[in-house]
Order: sequence, then C-alpha cells, then structure tokens
Amino acid sequence: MTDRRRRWSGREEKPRLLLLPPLLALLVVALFPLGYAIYIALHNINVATPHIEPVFVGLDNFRRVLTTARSVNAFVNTFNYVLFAIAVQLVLGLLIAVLIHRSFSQRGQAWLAVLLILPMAIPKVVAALVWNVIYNPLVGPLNYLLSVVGLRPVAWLQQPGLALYSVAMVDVWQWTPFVVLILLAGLEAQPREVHEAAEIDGATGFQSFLFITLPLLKPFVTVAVLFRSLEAMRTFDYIYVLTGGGPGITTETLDLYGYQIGVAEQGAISIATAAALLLLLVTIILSTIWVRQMKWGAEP
Amino acid sequence: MVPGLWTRSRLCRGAALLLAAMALSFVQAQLEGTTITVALRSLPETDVIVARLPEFQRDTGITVNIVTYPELLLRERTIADLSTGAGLFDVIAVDSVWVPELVEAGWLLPLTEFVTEEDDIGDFAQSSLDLFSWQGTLYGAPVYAEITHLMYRKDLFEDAGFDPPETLEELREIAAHFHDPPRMHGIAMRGLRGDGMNIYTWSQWLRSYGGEFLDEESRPAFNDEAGVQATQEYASLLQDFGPLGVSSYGWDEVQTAFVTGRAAMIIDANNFYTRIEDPNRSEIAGQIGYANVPAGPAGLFPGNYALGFAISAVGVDDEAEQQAATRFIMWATSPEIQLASIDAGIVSQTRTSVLESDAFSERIDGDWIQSTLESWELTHANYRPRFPGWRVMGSALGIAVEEVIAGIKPAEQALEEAAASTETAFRDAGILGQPRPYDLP
Amino acid sequence: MSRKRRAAPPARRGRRALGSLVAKLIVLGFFLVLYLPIAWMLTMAFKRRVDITAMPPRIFFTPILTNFEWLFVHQDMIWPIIRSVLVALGSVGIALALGSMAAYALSRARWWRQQDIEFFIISTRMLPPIALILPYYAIWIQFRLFDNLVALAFVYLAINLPLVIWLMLGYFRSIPVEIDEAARVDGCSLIGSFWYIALPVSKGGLTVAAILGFIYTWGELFFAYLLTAVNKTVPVALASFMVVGLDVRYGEMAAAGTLAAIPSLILTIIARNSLVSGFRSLAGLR
Repeated sequence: MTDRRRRWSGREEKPRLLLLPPLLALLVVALFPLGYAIYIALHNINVATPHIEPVFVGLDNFRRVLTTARSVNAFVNTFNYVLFAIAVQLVLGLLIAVLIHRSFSQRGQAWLAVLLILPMAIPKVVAALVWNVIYNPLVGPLNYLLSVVGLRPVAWLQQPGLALYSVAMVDVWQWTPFVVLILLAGLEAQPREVHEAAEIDGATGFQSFLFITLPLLKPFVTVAVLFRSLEAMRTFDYIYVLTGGGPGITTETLDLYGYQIGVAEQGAISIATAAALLLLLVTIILSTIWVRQMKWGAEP
Repeated sequence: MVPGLWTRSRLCRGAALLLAAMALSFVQAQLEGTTITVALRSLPETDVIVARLPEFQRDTGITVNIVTYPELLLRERTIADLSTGAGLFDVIAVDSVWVPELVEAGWLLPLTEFVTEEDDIGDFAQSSLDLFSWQGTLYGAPVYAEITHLMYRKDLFEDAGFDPPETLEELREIAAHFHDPPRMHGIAMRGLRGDGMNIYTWSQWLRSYGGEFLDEESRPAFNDEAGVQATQEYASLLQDFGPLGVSSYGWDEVQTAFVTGRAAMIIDANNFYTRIEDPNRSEIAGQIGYANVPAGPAGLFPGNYALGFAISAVGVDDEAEQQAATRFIMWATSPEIQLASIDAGIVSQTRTSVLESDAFSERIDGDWIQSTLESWELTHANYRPRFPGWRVMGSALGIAVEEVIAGIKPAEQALEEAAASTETAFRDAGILGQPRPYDLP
Repeated sequence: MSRKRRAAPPARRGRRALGSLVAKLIVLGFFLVLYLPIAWMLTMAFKRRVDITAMPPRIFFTPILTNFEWLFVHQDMIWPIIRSVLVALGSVGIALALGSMAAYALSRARWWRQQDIEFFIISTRMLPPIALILPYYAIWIQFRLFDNLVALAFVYLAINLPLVIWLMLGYFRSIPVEIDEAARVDGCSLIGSFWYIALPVSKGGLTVAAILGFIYTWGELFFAYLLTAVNKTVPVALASFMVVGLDVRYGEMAAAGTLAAIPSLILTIIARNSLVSGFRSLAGLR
C-alpha cells in the first residue's frame, strides 16, 4: 500500500486544494476555539463577578481542578461511566453481531440494520426522559416487573452506588446497536474461505471464532471502541436529564461538572475550561495508546 | 357668541390635540416596529400571556418574541446570557432570590424609573414587591408568587381521626402512622439538589430549629449545631417515611407521589393546587386538605418564591427597546391578564385586586385561601436570604442536603464541606468579612 | 479430512440447525429489549398523564391525541422541525462535500506528517463541548451570530467533518490505485477521477456518513441550547417544554420523540442496502 501511494505521488502534483478547505474549516470551528479555551484556562475569569478584573494565573486553575475533591470525583465518574458502558456494549454487541451474521440472510440483515438504527434516531433528550419514567422507583414499569417477580423495588437513579451505572445502561441501550453494526460490517468483510478451511481442518466453532474471527475483527473492535468512548466521554444529555449529577455528586461527570460550575452555579468558566482541557488531554493520550496497541497487535 | 373667539379656542384646542396626538404618535412611532425578546418560564400562568400576545402586538406595534424554558433551564440560560454579555433577551423572568446578585452585577435596569401612575404598582401585594426590590429600588414586576404549605389527604386524616399537624414532632408522628411502603408513604418532600429545589423546603427546617445561613461577618453559619440538627431532622423524616429514592425528588416527583395516592402528606408550593385537583392528572382530586406548615422550636416559617419580569441591561440596546420592554411587562402583569388566568385554574396571581376578587374566591377551596393568606403574612422576604452570593451558597447547600438524605455523608461532614466551598467562593467574590448583607426574618 | 464439506455428519447438521434456532431466539430477545422502551414511549404518547403514572402500568387505556395536538397548537412544533432539518441538511451536506475531498486527498497522496494530520482531524472529535462553548460565546458576541442557524450549522461541522473524513478515508483506501491510474491514462484529471470514479464507488460510505451525521446533528442539544434563543431546534424545543410549570409533560414529550425519530427512520429505510457495507469503512483508518 505504502509504496503504491509513494509511486503515485512521485509523479503527481498533490491535490492541495482538496485538503485546504476542510482543514481551514476545522481550524475555524475547532482549533481557534481551542486556543481561546487555553487562554481562558490560564486566567481567573468568573463571569458572575464582572467587577473583578481577570488576571493571568498560569497553571493555577489546573492545580485547583486536580486538588478539588469535586472535580477529581468528576474525572473518576467519567472513566467509570465510559469503561462500564463501553465494556457492556462491546461484549453484547459482539455476541449479537456474531449471531446475526450466522443466522440471517443478506436481505434479513439489511432490515435488521434499519431496526438497529432506529433507537439511535431518537434524540438523546427524549430517550433520557423515557428512561426516567421506566426507572421511576414509584410508578415505573421496571420496578413493577420486579414486584411481579416478587422482588423489592430498586431506586435505580437514586442509590449512590447504582445511579451511574443505571445511566450508563441508557447509553448501552441506545448505542449497542451501533457497535453491532460496525462489527457486523467487519464479519461481512471476512473471507468465507478462511472459515471453511478451518472447519475442514477440524476446528470447532468456538476455536475458529477465537483464532480466526476475532483477530480479523480487531480493527473493527478498535474503531468501535474508539468511536463510542469518544462519544461517551462527552455524555451530557443523559446525565443532565436523568440525575442532574445526583445523588449528591455521585453521577457528576466532567462535562456536567464543567457546565455546573461554569454556567449553571458559579460562572467560574476558567476552572470549568481547565477541567475540560484536562479531559481532552487524557482522551488524546488514551486514544493514541489504544490505537497504537491495537495496530501493533494486528500486524504479525 | 363671538365666532372669532370660538374659532380661536377651537383652533387652540385643535392644536393642543394635534400636538398631543403628535407626541403620542411619536412615542408610538418609536415603539412601532421595535422588537423585544422575552425569556419566559413555561408555566400555565404564562400561557395566558402567550395566548393574548397578538392583542398586545396589534395595539402597540411592538413585536414580542417569546422564548420559553422550564425552571432549571431558564435559570441557567439567563445566567449564561447575562454573564457572557450575549444579551439575546431584553426581558427576563427572574427568581426573586436572584435579584440582588443580578443587580449587583449590573445586569438589571431599575423598573421603578420607567413605570407610570397608570401601571398601579401599589396594587401588587407588598410582600411580592419586597421580593423584587434591592436596596429600596424595584427591579421586577411579580408575575407569579407562591408560598409553601402542608397538603394532606383529608380522607385518610378523617378516617384516622387526625387534625393536620401543627408542630414538626406531630408531623413526624403522623407520617409514621401512615407509612406503609411501598403502597403508602408518610410524607414526600424535595430531596433533589438546588437552591430552588431541596433548599426551598429545607430552609424551613433550618429556620424552625433556629439556624441561620451567615454570621455577622458573612461567614457560612449553616453548619453550626442548629443547622446540623435541622438537616438531620429533615433527612431522617424523608429517609424514614419518604418514598424510595426521595433524595432525588424534585417538585414533579413529590407531586406524582401525592397524586398517585402514594403519599399521605407533602409540604410544597401552594400552587400545586392547579394540578392536584385536576382529575386528568390526579387520582385524589377533591380529597385534599390544606394547612399551614408545622412549626418548629424557633417558630413557624413558610417558604416563598416569586417569579418576576425584569429588564435586562445586557439585552436592551436603546430607549425604544427599554420602553417597549416596560410596556410589555406592565401589560403582562396587568389585572386584566391576571383575572383572565383565573379561568385557567391559576392560583398564583400577584395583584391584590385580583386575589381579593369574587372571581377568585368563588373558584378556589376555602382552606387553601386561608392558609395561603396566613402564610403570606408569616413568610419573610429573606426566608432564603436575598444577597449576591445566594446562588453559590444555595448550590453547595443543595448538594450537601441531597448527600445527607441519600445517606452518602453524615450531616456534619456534608455541611462542613458546603461551608468550606462557599467560603472559598465568597473570598473570591469579596463577600467574606463584610457585614451580613441581609436582614434577619 | 476429505474435501467433501457438504457431507457433514447428520448429528452435526442437527446441532447446527438447533444452534441457528437458539441464535435467532437470542437475537429476537435482544431486539425485544431494544424495542420495549420504544414501545413504552409510543404508548405514553397516547396516554393521559394520569395513565402514565398509574400503577400497575396500564397496557389498555383510552388513547388520546391531545399530546400531539398540544405540540402543534400550543407549542408550534413545525418551525423547530423545519429549522432542524435545514441545519442538519446544510451541515451534513457541507461536511460530505469537504470531508470526502479531504479524505480523497489524504488517501491519494503522501503528505508531510500524514499520520499527524489524520490524527489531528480525528482528535477534533474529542474536544469536550464545555471547552468549546465558552470560546464560541466570545466569537458569537463579536460577530453577532447568536440565534443564527447558519452559524450553528458551522458548529456542527466540528462534529460531522471528522466523521465524514474518517469514514471516507477507509473507503477510498480500499479502492485500488490502479483504477485511478487507468482513468488518468484515459485522460481523466485528478478531480475527474475523484468525481467519476471514487465517489460513485463509495456510495455506501457516503450514505452511512450522511445518516450518522444527520442523527448527531438532529439530536444535538448542548450547543443548540446555548447558542440559539428564538430559533430553537428540535432538541431545544423538546427540552424547553418537557417541563411546564410544575409539571413534566411526559405524554407530549413522548409524542414529540416519536415524531422526531421519523426523519432518520425514513433515511435509513431508503439506504438499508448499503448500511452494513457502509459501516465497514469506519474501520478503514489505521
């Protein structure tokens, strides 16, 4: 691949014009605001007290974020949320994708794909509100089901240890289909001959799954995880509607924390922005490591 | 009859009229074509305003864009709009407790200076005017006002032979009597964090046990002995006799628990009336009694809240917009509009002439009216203290109280942390060390 | 082992049939769980408030249409829908045009620090909205862009553009360069081979990019909420009337949610045949 590309570019002018507009657009909508965000994070701006002149404070806001219990809590919640949601989505998504791939025809799969997309098409705000009713400890259908089976009602969104994962399950509900779709595409792309050969060699279904299907699926898993965790990292709608960060601050993720202290509660936009930038930094580092790891694994 | 004179006087009168008409049309012309944007809390109360807006636009030539948000979103959205200088909104609906902060930040224009005799400001209930004044100047016209009182199941109380509780101890005993989960719960109140959520009702407990928010030097004082006791009482009442998950109950959940017949009593806003007596929304319509909130050792403290229209200094660009904004506010809070809202089942009007009208007393339950009037006498403008640092303190307190109810932290620790973070914020804002910025109730 | 793979032992065939049945049942169960909340939403849309909170839940109830009626008579839901469609189409359209150009350029030439450029593009998707919103505020004030739908569509470029580039890069890479070269020999320009060869082959990728972009833009709340006022988009309108007074309007909300899912549903049904293959290219990025 690489030398073919080199050969091509060797005698061609580069299509610079094609790359310029999109890069320019990204510069305007992403890079410039990012620079401005760094400026905000390095000053002590609080919009609620306009009479106090902002001054340059260096990295003090970052220090404050890293040493305040509430913001550290927000980091921990964010990662717990992402880890839990993505792990469940991946395992469940893999199972369903494999089963669909094995037992449905091409035509059937096309229609299943439509059915898979529909939950994603519901705006997150609405999904969260519907789940708010479902989770309601007093009048929600979920606790009703529990009571039919004879179990005690559960405070899904109010119990401190549980609330974060209840919210994450909404993420799982709405976005597992996405993972299924990507992995399904990956399974479709696998050459059938390899599997047939393995079967002929006496490999059991599980062996062939473990040693052939999974390794071939790796790039798709990589991308599904990357894609979903980037989204989950920035979850705002679900948490805002379902718990508002509560009980206490046990479901306050970083985006919500930044929103609360920057916009809703205090106007401390410098601290909010500093927290957001730290999250960006961590995201970039983690996703780089993830992509590298998976790539090294894929190449023999 | 001297024709000349007659002519002259007619001429004079004509000229005067013409002048007046010109002056009037000048004002009209100035306002004609002016566009103002209003940020409004979506309330059935405000539906009347929206429905009749075409009349106002036709009569004045002012174009009014109304943008509605629910309670929390409105608060956050207006703060974002004002604090960043975006200034999309010319008229904003503000919570009474926020007026001092917004005024001190220079974001509101004094309404006093723009109103005329005709607007009859004196007709507003004095208590609601107090809520929108800061240092003697009026900054907003009350659209909607409420107090808290006790709502209870009359049928259950009659069967059990109870009178409504008059003290917090009695409240606890009665709650214990009716508590039979998951079918029935003794009491439901707000647990969800927020300076306008759990703190709205929790403040009653703080005051009932003799606690106070700030000391004389504006240091947080809510974490003293009285504050801790009040919080423990409030939390344990809900933990022991409240529904599952009550720590995240906002008014909607409180109301739902009540109207589905799952709670024997609630203490919340008196304007629940509109919904809990509506058979389309409530399974217990017609079975509800109303009484004053129970008293604590330090006295009887019903809470209050009011929503008012204020003119945004950030949003209004010129004289014409500011006049148009005033005209809109005074029209939207006029007796005519408020009277019309009675038919929609609304009970939160702010003009005395409306509240004392026959139309009002004919439609509304007698007990409700009595406890509402008494509570307005008893409540104090600084039930929740009105000063520029309220929002920060109220938010921190809200988290603390929710944590105590949810059983995450003991009251001492939660309040201690809230006090610490409030102190930091007050130091940054220059409030700390100043004399206490509000009068005591 | 022999090469006669069709002659598998009968026992194995039977087990496979059983396995297939079990697999189908599990898939069915998955879809059941997936669709229960949606079914619940649908029933809520036709229920009175008192039926929504009834216990035990009411499966049978007298359906009403007032929830839908309220949306249009009381809340003027038409305009938010029109606005959202315009913003989504505009933003996704621009993203598709710019993004596929960029992806083509990246796939067909070797660039200085190619990996870094690609990573930069993807990483713009990582920006936390809260870090962007305050700078946007500052810019919006400067250029008086508040409530401007064109400006909002541009904001969504930050979300859609990386997505399109990501997807199309995988697609274009999978097209053998030889096809391009053949076209060039036949006198086709670079742009020409992009337009006449690469794009038509990549319909699947374009479709998936369009659908995903549409879904994100259509449902985006955070930016729209803070950057618009009068010109509300669908999610903001939804969030605005989910609470009216002291009343969460679950029925109306469900009605609106049902309506809001329709455009994306139509898009996906039209594009169903290229959906699965389109998702393949997501993994094309190395």
